[in-house]
Amino acid sequence: MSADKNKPLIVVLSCNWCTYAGADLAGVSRFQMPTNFRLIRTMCSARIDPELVLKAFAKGADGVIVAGCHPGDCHYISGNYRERRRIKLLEMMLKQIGISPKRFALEWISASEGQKFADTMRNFSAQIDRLGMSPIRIKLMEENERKEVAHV
Amino acid sequence: MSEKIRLAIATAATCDGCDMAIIDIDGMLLDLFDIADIVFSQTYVDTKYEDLEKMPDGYITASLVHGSMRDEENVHLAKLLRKKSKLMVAFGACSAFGGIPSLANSVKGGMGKIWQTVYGKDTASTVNPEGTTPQHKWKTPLGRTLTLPEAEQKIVPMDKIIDVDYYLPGCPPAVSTIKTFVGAVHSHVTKGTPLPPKGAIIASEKTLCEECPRVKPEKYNIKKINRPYEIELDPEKCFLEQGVICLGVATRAGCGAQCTKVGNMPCRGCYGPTGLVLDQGASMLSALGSILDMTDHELDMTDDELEKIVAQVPDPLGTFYRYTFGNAIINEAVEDAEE
Amino acid sequence: MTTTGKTDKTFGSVLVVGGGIGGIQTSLDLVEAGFKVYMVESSPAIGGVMAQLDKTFPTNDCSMCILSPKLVSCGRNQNIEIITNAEVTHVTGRPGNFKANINVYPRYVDPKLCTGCGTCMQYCPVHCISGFNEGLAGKKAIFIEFPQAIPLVATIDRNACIGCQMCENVCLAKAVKYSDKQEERTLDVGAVILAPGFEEFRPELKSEYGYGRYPNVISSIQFERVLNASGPYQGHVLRPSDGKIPKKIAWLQCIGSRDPKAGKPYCSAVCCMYATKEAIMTREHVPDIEQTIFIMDMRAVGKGFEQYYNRAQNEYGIRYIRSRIPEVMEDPVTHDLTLRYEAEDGTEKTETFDLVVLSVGLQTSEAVKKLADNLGLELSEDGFAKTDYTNPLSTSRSGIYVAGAFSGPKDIPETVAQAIGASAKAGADCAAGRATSLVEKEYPPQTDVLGEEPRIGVFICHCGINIANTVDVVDVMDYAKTLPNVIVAEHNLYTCSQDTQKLISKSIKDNNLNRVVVASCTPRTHEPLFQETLRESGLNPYLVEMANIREHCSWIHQGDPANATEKARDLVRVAVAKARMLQPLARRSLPVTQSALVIGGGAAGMNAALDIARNGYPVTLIEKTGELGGNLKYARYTNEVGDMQAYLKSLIFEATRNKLITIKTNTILGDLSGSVGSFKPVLKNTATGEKEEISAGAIVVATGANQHKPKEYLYGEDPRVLTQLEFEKKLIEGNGVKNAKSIVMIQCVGSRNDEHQYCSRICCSTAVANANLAKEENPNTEVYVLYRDIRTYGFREHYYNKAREKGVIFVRWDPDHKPEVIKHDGKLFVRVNDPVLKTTLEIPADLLILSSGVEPNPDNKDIGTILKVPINDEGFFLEAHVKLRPVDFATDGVYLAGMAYHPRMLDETLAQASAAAGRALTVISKDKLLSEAAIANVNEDICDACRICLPMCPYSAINLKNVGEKQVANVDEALCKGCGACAAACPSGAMEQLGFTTKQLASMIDAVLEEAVK
Ligand code: SF4
Ligand code: SF4
Ligand code: SF4
Ligand code: FES
Repeated sequence: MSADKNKPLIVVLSCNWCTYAGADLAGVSRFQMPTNFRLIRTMCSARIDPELVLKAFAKGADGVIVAGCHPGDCHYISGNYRERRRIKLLEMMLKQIGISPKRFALEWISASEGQKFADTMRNFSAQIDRLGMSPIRIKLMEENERKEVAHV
Repeated sequence: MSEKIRLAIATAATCDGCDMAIIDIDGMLLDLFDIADIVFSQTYVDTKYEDLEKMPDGYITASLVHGSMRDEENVHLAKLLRKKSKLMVAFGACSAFGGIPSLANSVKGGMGKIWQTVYGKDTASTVNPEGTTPQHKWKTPLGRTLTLPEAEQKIVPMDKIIDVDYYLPGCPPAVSTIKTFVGAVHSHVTKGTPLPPKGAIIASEKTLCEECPRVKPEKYNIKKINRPYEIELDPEKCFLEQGVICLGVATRAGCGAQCTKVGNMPCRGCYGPTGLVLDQGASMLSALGSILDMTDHELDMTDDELEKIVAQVPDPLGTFYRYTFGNAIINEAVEDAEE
Repeated sequence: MTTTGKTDKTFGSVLVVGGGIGGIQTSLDLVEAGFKVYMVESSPAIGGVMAQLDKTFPTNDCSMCILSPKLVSCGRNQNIEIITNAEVTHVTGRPGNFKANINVYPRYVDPKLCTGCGTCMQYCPVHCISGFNEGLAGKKAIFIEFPQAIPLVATIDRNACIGCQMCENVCLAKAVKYSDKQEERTLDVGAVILAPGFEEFRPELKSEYGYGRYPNVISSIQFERVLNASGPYQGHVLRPSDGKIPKKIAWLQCIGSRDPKAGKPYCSAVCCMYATKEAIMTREHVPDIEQTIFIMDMRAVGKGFEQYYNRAQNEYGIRYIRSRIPEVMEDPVTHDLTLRYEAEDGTEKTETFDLVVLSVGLQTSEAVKKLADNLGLELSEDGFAKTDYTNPLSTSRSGIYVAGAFSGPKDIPETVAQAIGASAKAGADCAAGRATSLVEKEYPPQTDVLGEEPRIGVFICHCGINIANTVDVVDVMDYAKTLPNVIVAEHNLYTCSQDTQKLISKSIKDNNLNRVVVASCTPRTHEPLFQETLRESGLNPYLVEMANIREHCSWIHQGDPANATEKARDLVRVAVAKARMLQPLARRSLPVTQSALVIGGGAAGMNAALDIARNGYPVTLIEKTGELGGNLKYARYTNEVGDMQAYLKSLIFEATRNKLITIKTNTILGDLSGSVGSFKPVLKNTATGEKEEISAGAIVVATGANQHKPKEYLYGEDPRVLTQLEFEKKLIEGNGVKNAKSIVMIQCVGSRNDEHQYCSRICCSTAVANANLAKEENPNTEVYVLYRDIRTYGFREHYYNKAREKGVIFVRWDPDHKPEVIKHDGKLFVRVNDPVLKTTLEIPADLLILSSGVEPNPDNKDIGTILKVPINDEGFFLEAHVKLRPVDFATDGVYLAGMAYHPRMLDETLAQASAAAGRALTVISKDKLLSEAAIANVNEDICDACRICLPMCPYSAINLKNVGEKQVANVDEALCKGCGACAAACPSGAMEQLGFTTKQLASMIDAVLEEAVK
C-alpha cells in the first residue's frame, strides 16, 4: 500500500495547553482518525496570526483549523477571546476571497476532549473530502507540473 | 551646471495622480529640469516607444514607473524600461503593491466578470445599447487591423514582472520624498554618494503612528465602529479610539501623516506594510480584531453576538487591502467548489 | 537514601504527604521558596481527586486542563522527589529536625526503565476494575491510572496479576520487575505537611437509597467520571442499566452529611455546588434533560457561587426542591427510580427519575486516620485533623501542618490557599536550612551558534513498537537525511532512554551539531528531557524541536502505515524547517529586593506580615487608619472563639514586637512603579501628606472589606434595631437580652439581592453564634432567625444544631415574600410568611437584629488601578484563577488575602494570609528570578508605540518607554509569560514572540505543504 498523495491536506494550528493536549489524549486513547492533518503548535491560540492562516491557504492547504482552549480555559486568561474576534473577521474576508467557509474552522477543544479532537478531525476531513482540493492547491500543482515539464 | 541625469517618467495603468505629485513639486520643477533630462515620458515630453527602443541598454539613469500592470502594454513597457535603465523605480502604490486597481483581482470570475460589469447592459451606470465591448483586434471597414492591448488576468506589483531597485510608495508618493530621491540619484551620479541598498523602500521603517500627532488612549477597546461621516471627528484624538478604522498602525510612515494631520481623515494605507509583516491587510485585520469590543461577559458570549461585533467592519478585504491586494499573501479571488 | 546530620541541624527539606492538588501546590511553593520536598503518595500516581473531576465550579473550567501543567511541573522538578505507593509510618524529632520513616510498596515495574508507552497494558490479559473511573470502566492488571499520570510509569496490581509474564515479554525497555520488594526509608526533614485529602462517604451505608443494588443509583463522583470526556462513556451521559440517555436526573444532597444518625453531623461544604455544576454540565451534554436537586439548604457561600446558583435556576432550568428524600424505590423491570417525598408545604409527592445521583459527603479515610495515629495527631470528633480556629494550619503536633480536606471539608481554592499557607508555616520552621538541600546542576558552557549555518541532527524514535509498528522509521530517517542542513539522522529504540541521551550527546560533539530534531512523542512531556540533554552537551536548550509522530501519528493511524509514514515525513520536515530557524534563548536573571510590602493592618495583613517575618524577611506593613486591627476591632465573639479582643491584642503585640516588621499607620499606597522582584511603592502619609519611596520584591493586598449599613427594617430609626455586630457588643457587655422576651434576626440584609448578588458567607454563622449566646444568657428569651438558607457550612453545622437544640426557632422566607417590620403602639413586629405552616406569622420583636452583609472596600478601585490588578463587578479583587490561584493576581508579585478577596471567616482569612505570604516568599526568598524564555520582544527600530499590543497582555507586561524623544513598546521580562497574543496583534511586525516568530511559523507552514503541491 502506498501513500496517496492526492488526498486533501489539512493544517491545524493549535495552542499548547488545551487542543494540543487534547490531541495527545486522543493519541493515548488510540482513537483512529484520517491521516491527512498536520498540527502546528503555538503556546496560545492568540499567537495564531491571521497571516498564518492565509499563508496556509496560499501554500495549498485544503482546509485549516485554528484550535484552542474553551472560553474561560485559556492558559493565558484571555488569549482565545482576542483570537476569536480576529478569526471571525478573517472568516468574512475568506468569504470575500472565495474560499469556501467549509474549509476553515475555529474549534475549542480541551485537554480532556480527546474524543472531541478525534471527532473534529474525522468530520472536518470528511467535509474537505467532499469539497475536494482547494482551487489554490490545484493551481499550484498545475504550475509545478508546468515547471517540471519545462525542466525536462 | 554639472552633469544631468536621464530620467524616464512612465505611466502604466494609472490615474495620473502620481504625475500630479511630480508637478506638485512646484517651483522646484524647474530645478528638476536643471539636474535631469526627461528622456522618456508619455506625459511631460513627446516621446514614442520607438525612441525608447532606440536607446542603448542602460541609457536611462532611472525610470520612475507609476500605475499598475493591468495589460500587456504595461508589462511590455516595464520590461523594455528595465532593459534601458540602470535603476527601476516602482513609483506609487499601484506600481509598488498593485494599488487600488489590484482590488479588481478580488472579483470572482476575473476579467470576464469585470467587463460584464463595466460594459454590460444590466449595470445601472452603463449606457451601451449595442453591447459593444473592447476587442483585442478589430478590422476597420477599410480593412486595417487595429489592436488594443490584452488585459492581464491578474494585477501584480511591478516587481513580480521585472527586477525593481527602489520603491516610492504612496498614492501618490510624498512630494518631499520625490525630491530627495531624485536629488540622491543625481548626487550619486555626479558625486558618487552612495544610494540606499537595492530593494529599499524610500520611506520610514516605522508606521504612520510615528508621524501622526493624534493622542492615543491608554488602552484600546473599540466599542463601536464608525464610518468617518457618521460622527463628528475629533481632530486631536486617534481615529481608532473614535471607532474609525485607520490603517495608520499597519502602514509605513513617510507621507508626513497628511491625511490624519491636515485632512482630518483616517489613513487608508497607501504606503503599504512595514518590512517585517507578511501582509498589510492581514496585519491590520489582526490588530483591529484584537481590540474590537472586549466585553465584560466574554465567558458567556454567544456566536451571534460575536458575529455582530465583527460585522461592523464593512468590506474587510477592501478596507484592509485598499492599496495592497496585488501584493497580498492571497492576491486574487478564487472560485471554490460548492459542497 | 538516608542523609544523616547532627541532631541540632535545621533541615532544608519538607515532607509532604499526599499528592493531590494540596500536596502538589504546597510542594511547588516550597521548592520555589528554597526547600527540597519529599512527596509521599499512597497511590501509584499523583493528582488526587482533582484528576478525576470533569469541570470545576463556578467557572466550568476543565479540571484536567488546569491541573495537568502542575502535575508536569512537579514531575520534572529535580527538587521534588515523588515517592509513590508509599506511606509514612513514624515521625520523630522536633520542628526543624524530624526523622520520618516511610514504607515504599513495590510497583513491580522499574520506574527508571519504564517509558510509560503503555504497550504492556494492551497485551495484559487480565481485566479488572478501575478505581480511577470509579468502578465504571475496566483496566488491566498492569496499568497506568490515567494518561496524564505523573510519574508516567506502569504498576502491576499483584492482586489481579496472574503472573503470565506477557508484559515482561512485550516490554522492550525491560522495565517489568516481578522481584520488586517493599523498601523502608528514613527521611530527614525540617517540617511535615499533611495533605492526604478525603474520601467520599460510602453511599451503600445508607441502604435506603439502594446504592449498589439499583444500577441507576450512582454516586456524585461516579457521575463526575460519566461527564468526563476521558471517562468510561467518553463524556456521553448514559445510565448504567441500559446505556440509554437519561431524561430526568435527580441529585439527592447531604448523603453522609448533616446526618447525625449516620455519624456525620457536619456539612461537607462542597456538595451543593458540585451538584449544581454537575446539573449544569449535564445540560451541556444532553440539551433536553430535566435536572432536579433535592436540598435542605442551598449553601452557595463562595465567590461567584450565588450567581452560579441563580444561573442554574434561570438559565439552565434546574429545579431545587427543599426536601430530604427518605428512600429510593426501583422498578425492577425498567430500573427507573421513584422518589416519594414531603414537599416543603407538607404535601406528599411521588416522582420518577431515570437516574439518581447521590451527592456524597466528605470524610477522612481509615488510612488517613491511621496516618494520624502513626504521627500521634489528635483528631476531632468528626474524624478530621484537629486545628485551632486562630491557627488553622497547625495540627496538634508542632512542626506538622495540615492543608486541605484533612482539616475539614473544603473546596479546591480553600485547599490551595491552605496548601500555600502551610508552605509558609513550614518555611518558618526550616528557615535556617533554606536553600541548603536544593540540588543545582552544573552545565558545560554553551557554544555560541549565532551566525553559524544550521547543522541539524535528527533522532527518530521507535518507542519500542509504539511508533515503529505503524511508521516506517527507517524510511523517515532516510528521508530526513535528504532535507537541507540535516547532517545526521538516526533511529533509536527509545529516544528518551538514558543511553540514547548519551548517543545524542556524542552525536552533537562528533558531528558538530548546532540544532537537534527529535521525532518521537509529545513535547508536552518530553521536551524538557531533550532540552536537558542539549544543555549537558553544551548547546542552548532551546535549539531542539520535536515532531510528535506517536500521539499525533502512529497511535491514531494504526491501520494505515503508508499514510502514517508519509505524515511522519511531513512532520519531520516541518520540525527541521523550524529547527533551521531556531535561535538560542535565555532565561534572563532579574534582581530581587528581598522584602515585602503588606497593605492593610487587619487580621489578614498582620498575619501575612508575621509569616513573612518568621521566614526571616523584612516587611513594611501599612495601615490607612491610625491603628491596627481592621474589622477585628469590632468582633467580640464567634462560635469558636470566646474572646476575639484578646486574640487581637496578642496579634498586635506580636506584630509590633517583631523586629523585621515596620508598621506605618495613617499610610496608603500612593503610587507604584517596577514589577515583580523590584517594585518601587510610593507610600503616602495621609496625615502629613509626606511621600516616601521604598523597595519591595512582592506586595500583599489585605485591604479588607466593610460592613454593610442596612437601609431598611427601620435601621437607624429605631434604637431596638441593631446589626449583629452591635448586638454582639451588647451581649458581651452583658446588657443584651436580660429584658428581651423575643429577639428576631433577619438574615441576608444587604446580601443575595439586586444590590449585592453574592452571599456574605459569615452572617449565618454569626447569627447562630449570637442566638446561642442570647439563649445562654436568658434561656427564656425566644429567638427567631428568619432566613433564606442556613449556610453554616462545614463544622459550623454543629452550632446550628446546638441552636436548634436550645430552642432557637428558624423560619424560612423566600425573596418574593420578604419579612416586613411594623411598628404598632410603639412595639415592633416582624411579619413573615411561613412556608411550612403556610401562614403569615407576626412575631413581636423586643430586639430586631439585622444580619447585614459584607461590602467591598471602596478603596479597592484606586488600589487596583495603582497595582494594575483587576476588580470584579462586585468590587472585590479578582484573583488570577478561581480554582488554582486564589491568592495570586495575573500580575506576578502581587498577592491577595482576606476580605479584599471576598467575605471570609477568620480561620479562612488566616489561611489565606499565610498563603499570600507563602506566594510572596516564593519571590523574595531568592536574590534573583528567572524570566520565561519564549517571551515577547520588541524591535525598537520598527515599533512606533501604536499601543495595539498594550491591551493584549493579560499580565500587563507591556508598557511604553522612551528612546530618545520617541516612545516604543517595552516588554517587562519579569512579567511576560510568552503567550504571543501581542505578537499576533502587532500590525507593524515589531513585536515578536521568541521561539514562535512569524518567520519560524511561516517556514513551518511553507514546509508542511511542500510535498502536497508537487
Ligand atoms: S489616527 Fe491612525 S495613524 Fe494616527 S495614531 Fe491613530 S492609528 Fe495611528
Ligand atoms: S503593537 Fe507593535 S508597533 Fe504597536 S506598540 Fe506594540 S510593538 Fe509597537
Ligand atoms: S507574549 Fe503574552 S505575556 Fe508576553 S508580553 Fe505579549 S501578551 Fe504579554
Ligand atoms: S492557551 Fe489555549 S487558547 Fe490560550
